[in-house]
Amino acid sequence: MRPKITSPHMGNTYIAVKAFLETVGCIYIPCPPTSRRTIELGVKHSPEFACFPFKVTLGNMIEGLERGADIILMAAGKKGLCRLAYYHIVQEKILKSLGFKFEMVGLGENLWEVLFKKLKLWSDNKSNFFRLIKAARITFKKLKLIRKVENLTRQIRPYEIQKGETEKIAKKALQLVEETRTYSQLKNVAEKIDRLFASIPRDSKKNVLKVVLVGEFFCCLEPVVSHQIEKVLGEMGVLVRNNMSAYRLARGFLFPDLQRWWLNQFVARKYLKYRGGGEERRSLGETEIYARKGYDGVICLKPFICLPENTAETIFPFLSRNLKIPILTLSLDENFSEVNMLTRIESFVDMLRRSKNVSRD
Amino acid sequence: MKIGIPRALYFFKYGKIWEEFFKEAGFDVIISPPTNRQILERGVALSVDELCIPLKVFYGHCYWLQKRCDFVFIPRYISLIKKTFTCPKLLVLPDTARFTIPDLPILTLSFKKSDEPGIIQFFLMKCVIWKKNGYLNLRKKTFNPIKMHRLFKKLLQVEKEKTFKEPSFSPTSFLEPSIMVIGHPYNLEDSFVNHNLFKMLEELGVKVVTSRQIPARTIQKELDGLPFIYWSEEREIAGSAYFGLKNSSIDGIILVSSFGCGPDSLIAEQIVQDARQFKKPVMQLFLDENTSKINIETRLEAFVDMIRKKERKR
Repeated sequence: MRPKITSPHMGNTYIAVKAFLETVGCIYIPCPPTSRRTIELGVKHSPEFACFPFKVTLGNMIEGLERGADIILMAAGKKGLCRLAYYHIVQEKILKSLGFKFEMVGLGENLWEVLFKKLKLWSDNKSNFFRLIKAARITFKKLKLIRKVENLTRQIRPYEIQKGETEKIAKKALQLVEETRTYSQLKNVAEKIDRLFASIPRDSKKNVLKVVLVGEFFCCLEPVVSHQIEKVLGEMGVLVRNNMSAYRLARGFLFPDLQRWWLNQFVARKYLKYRGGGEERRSLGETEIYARKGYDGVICLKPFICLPENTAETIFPFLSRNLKIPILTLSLDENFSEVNMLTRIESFVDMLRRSKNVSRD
Repeated sequence: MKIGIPRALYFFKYGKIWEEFFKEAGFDVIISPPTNRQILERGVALSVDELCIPLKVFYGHCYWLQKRCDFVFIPRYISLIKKTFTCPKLLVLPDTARFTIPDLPILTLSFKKSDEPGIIQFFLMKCVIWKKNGYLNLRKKTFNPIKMHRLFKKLLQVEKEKTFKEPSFSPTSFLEPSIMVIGHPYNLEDSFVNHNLFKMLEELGVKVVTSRQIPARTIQKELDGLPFIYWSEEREIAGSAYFGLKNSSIDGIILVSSFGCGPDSLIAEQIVQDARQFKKPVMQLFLDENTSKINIETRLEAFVDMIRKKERKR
């Protein structure tokens, strides 16, 4: 009897995780997509001051276990400073006290052990080294394609003539990525995606504002948490740039992230002499780079009382004054409502328009 | 040349060493007064609204010192124990202080593994002082980085020997319930922030045990059975809390943490979840600038009453 594996959601990453585990020969049950109920469940059982990703992933885990999963893969536990590395230990305690029977696996803690020992036990075939390589290739390709779809959506959405069309195409493209199983077919998918997105009628003369999204990676990648801020911004006619992607995070596990290293050592070094545990240096560095490139505004997404992003928030007023770029910080938690976000975003975009003298259409 | 030391954060743990070091190196030292209403309000106004109260208090102290001295000493404690780190907010403290309070003259030293900082760091510190006052004005005094390094090393050694001889925990009286109070030193020892917590407990007729009375070896033993905790401060808290849970002479545990404290939020949850196994009462007290004295008083009274009732049942 093979155990059933589940893992909490982060945007569209579940497609890649599913592909990896199914190619290796395990059974994967995706959690139900994050909803209001998920967040409520998570908030109910987690400590009061835990950060928001903790609560959302806990809710996801509960719903996954209700579906009958035996093993939870949690991408936490990499040695760090922030709370993220300690998530899975506390979450395991909480879930066990709720009466679930399962095994929690922190990926960052023992990634190699999971890949070479535990996967053998969970899957049906015993000699899986070559399968592992095959699965890894497919996963990385899929992650890359997901990033491509997301980036194309962000680029095309402000120009679309009929509202909501890009969203439909993006869904179709993601489904295409999810259904394709082999590596050779995936190569063709990239072209298909290009063709799909090229078919959207658009008004290329439109004046758009450019905004860069920075902040904590979970909030940047999971649209449910931020009430789909990218979609809202895109439909207002704002081109959103988001440099964070699941592909980048996954690659960071295996290879050094040169872009991050450069940001940390050369751009953000002026502001912070030492690391603050999370992505505060990415936020600061990207703010500076994109301000120099001529972007109109910066939106920083962070969970309520996030430790590293608080550091960045302290320095933002100085950056904003120095580089003459408006910065909006949104701290997300379960009480952060959609209306709240809409009002603040609308006034922010209006302010940007006025400063740039761009008309409404 | 005056050097100001804010009475906040790690001052309560290492303040004596800093003070003696600067005095022996030939500086005048000003230590900011104990926290009062004005300092706290100033700190709250200066800092980001989501920060925890010790940092807000810290910025208030820095502001108080800004006009009264030439330099404010803000150390950067990277780790207190090997392979661990302090809170992420404290790692970048000198940097954020520069942006929170503009034009704050900062002297900084980085500490790793609770060792003394290296000679280069003392040299950099010297350069900062030169830059402000000019080389010629200070040449007469002893400013040799090697000598400063040696001096600091000596002071640390003396302090270490002192802490080694501290009385250890011994369960003696069984008449009054003994309660363990655990938390960060900057929350426990700043009597304005915690509204005289220890005095209140004394008035209620309770024997108080703190984590300082527990020998380091016992704490380490408790920690070996737990998953690795990578926050240096939290290691002490978790170790002493688990010691309290297992020791039969301790009747209850009070965890004192500040609102929005990141590491505390997860470690405390772990302790609370495990306390059910040991059947020991655990209470979490959260401190912030809106906490009133009556709030804490009521909760403490209820907690002590509950413990007394439990004892009578036995």
